[in-house]
Amino acid sequence: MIGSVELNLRETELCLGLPGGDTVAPVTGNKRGFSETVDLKLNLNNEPENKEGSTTHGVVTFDSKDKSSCPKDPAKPPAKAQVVGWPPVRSYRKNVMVSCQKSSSGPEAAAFVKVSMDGAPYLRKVDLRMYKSYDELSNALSNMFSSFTMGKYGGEEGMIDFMNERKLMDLVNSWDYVPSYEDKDGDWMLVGDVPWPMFVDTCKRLRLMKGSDAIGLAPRAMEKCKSRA
Amino acid sequence: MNYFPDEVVEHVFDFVTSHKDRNAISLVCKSWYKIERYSRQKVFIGNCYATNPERLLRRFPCLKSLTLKGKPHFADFNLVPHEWGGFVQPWIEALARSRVGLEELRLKRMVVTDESLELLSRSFVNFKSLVLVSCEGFTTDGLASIAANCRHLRDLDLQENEIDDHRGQWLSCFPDTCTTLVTLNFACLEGETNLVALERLVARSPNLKSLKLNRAVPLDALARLMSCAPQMVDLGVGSYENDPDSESYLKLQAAIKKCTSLRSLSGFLEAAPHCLSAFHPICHNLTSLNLSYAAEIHGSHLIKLIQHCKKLQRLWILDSIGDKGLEVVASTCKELQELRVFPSDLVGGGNTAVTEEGLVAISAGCPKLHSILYFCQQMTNAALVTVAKNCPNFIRFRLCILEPNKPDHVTSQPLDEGFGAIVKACKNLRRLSLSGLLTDQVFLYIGMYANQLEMLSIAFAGDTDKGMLYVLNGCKKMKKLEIRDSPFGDTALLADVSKYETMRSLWMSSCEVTLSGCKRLAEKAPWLNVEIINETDNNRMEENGHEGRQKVDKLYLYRTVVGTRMDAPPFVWIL
Repeated sequence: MIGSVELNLRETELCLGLPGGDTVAPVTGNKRGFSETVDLKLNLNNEPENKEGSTTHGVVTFDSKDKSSCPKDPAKPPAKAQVVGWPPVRSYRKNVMVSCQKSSSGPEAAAFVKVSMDGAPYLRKVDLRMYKSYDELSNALSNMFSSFTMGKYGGEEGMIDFMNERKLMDLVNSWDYVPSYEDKDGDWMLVGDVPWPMFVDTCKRLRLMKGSDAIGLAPRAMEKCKSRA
Repeated sequence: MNYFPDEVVEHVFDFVTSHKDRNAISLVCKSWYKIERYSRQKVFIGNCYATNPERLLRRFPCLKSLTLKGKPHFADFNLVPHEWGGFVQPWIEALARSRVGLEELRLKRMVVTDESLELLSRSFVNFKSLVLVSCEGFTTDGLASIAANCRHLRDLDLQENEIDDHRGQWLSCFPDTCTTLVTLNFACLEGETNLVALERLVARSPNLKSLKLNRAVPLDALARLMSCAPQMVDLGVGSYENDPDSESYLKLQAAIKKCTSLRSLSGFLEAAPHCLSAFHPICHNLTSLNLSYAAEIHGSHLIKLIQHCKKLQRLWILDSIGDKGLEVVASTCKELQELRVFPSDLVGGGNTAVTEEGLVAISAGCPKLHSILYFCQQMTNAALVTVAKNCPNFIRFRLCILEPNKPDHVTSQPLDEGFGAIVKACKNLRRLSLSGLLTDQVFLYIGMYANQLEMLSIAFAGDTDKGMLYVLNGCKKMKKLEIRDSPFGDTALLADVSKYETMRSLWMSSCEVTLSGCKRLAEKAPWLNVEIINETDNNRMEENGHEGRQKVDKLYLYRTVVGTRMDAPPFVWIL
């Protein structure tokens, strides 16, 4: 590719962390480190323990008997492990409160959005304000939908790596899932383009699209990928 | 037995309106059963799966009004997956086929589709009243069918539903000839509203008594709406941000002064607090005030408003009002019957806005109080004992201490004695929700004293199966029991299977019941639907060698006369 294009590559890179932040580590080759991508782990090999305690960064715990759960990662500040359905306030009310409290100071209320996964029999709801990054969200989602097969690739390879061209090509044909969301304007966007706080404010709905359906979203990423090759 | 002709008996029955009484009448003798069923116009079905449309229509062919409830209560808190069930479509199809003269349909926690609404709107010429509470599955297109086709529509009341707003023109689908509206509530719609269509509709509806707007209706539109509807009794304000000096505000003040019939106020979803004073002139007439969505109005403004509301009977508010605010309520609102205090901080940041002191103040100041829902950070046994002494007339008592398992914050004791005092003093208690640190002892008290209790909600409470057994054995009138995250297991579940025939339903999630326990229950009680909601891979439960001992994530059982339902999704396993 022409050298002048490569100079601007960093800005146009499909970066799945905060843009321009120094947390973005230099990329070696095409594959990004785990912490810098939103990898949707949809593998069956999630240990059952993941469901119980918050082993990773304040993931919603389904086993609410685990009252004293604390994250095992000492580096992160102790995330408040929230219990599903507690306090007993209707999600309608929770959603209304968050849109009312946008401008006021003080702790933020919940932002519940529906999550659908193509092929799954039912939808879920997540409270985006419970997570601090795309990372945490993808962990929670993979826990939620771990009972569904993710296709041909097992284990580590199941992760969707946006910067891996081979993976993107396979997206077209495989059962891998691409996370997309509907924003305030009603448009369907690829998860990960905007800073996390902006995403939480604008996301109205999440959809884990089958790779083949994500063609409309993916080609942009594919082109950027090719241009870096 | 019958000294009077059937028509006379029927005429007498017309004066009996409560469902309980009508059901009792029908049990007296065959003749009364027959007369009653042909004259019954309003039917209430608390669990849509307890019966089916065919049986309903066979028994009550002259049906005019139907109330249906679908999902269990805990569905409100995301504990029931979306596709669980509660579809209204088969009901509407059956009613349409039978040509019954349906006039009113009230649904709660059901799945309603646009297709259902369209069919409803076309099938019943005299359809007058649609009330949807906490329903989902439809869009504004469905509302457009209702608006367009129901010529005699009186009530369209949408309460806290999840509606996909297609930003269409559903309001303009009301024909110009539609002048019969009495209730129009679309507060839960998220999108833009066609203000012109709305104003025209309100202007041609002289009977409009209840109007609840969504947040897309700004202040100047509100002023115009109120000006052309001074007969308004119940108003839900939408968006209320504005500059108090503007012309619209002055117009609003003038319009409000003319609304001398206004008794109920709600909404204020986006509110500029200092503008609340526009409503002060009519506050002395208000009997109902719902400011529980007004997150931006802080304590002092709430207090200023409430100080004018001396006739208030119902108050829904956020805990930002604080204990001091509740003291003002206690000294001002002597007619108060129902109070709900909702949490404004849902993430649990330790904001101690209301405590046990506020609750005690209210109980001391409001002698007519009979229903309370109170979210707070802390409680003590002493406070609850005082509340029980002050208010022995509670019918509904729901206390939610935000942190699960929190003890009395002064003595560190469980709250058994406090709740015990409540059930002992309140002989008419019908609904109770518990929270905080609780042992089996509290259930012993409930079983002993709560003779009228119909609905009990338990979370993170109890020590052993004895707790649940005390309740099942003691509460003769129990109808709905819902339990989460409590150590009750198979022994309690199976102790008295015939008890469940007297109840509407039982919910147990994250408890100690096992699959084999549930299977045994299903075998013993074929008239029950025993549903296991398993959100992990359903097949794992079968294949696992220890399947009998595997704990069940969510159990929902209910009595039914029509057996297993056919519309259950794959993750719901009906034993």
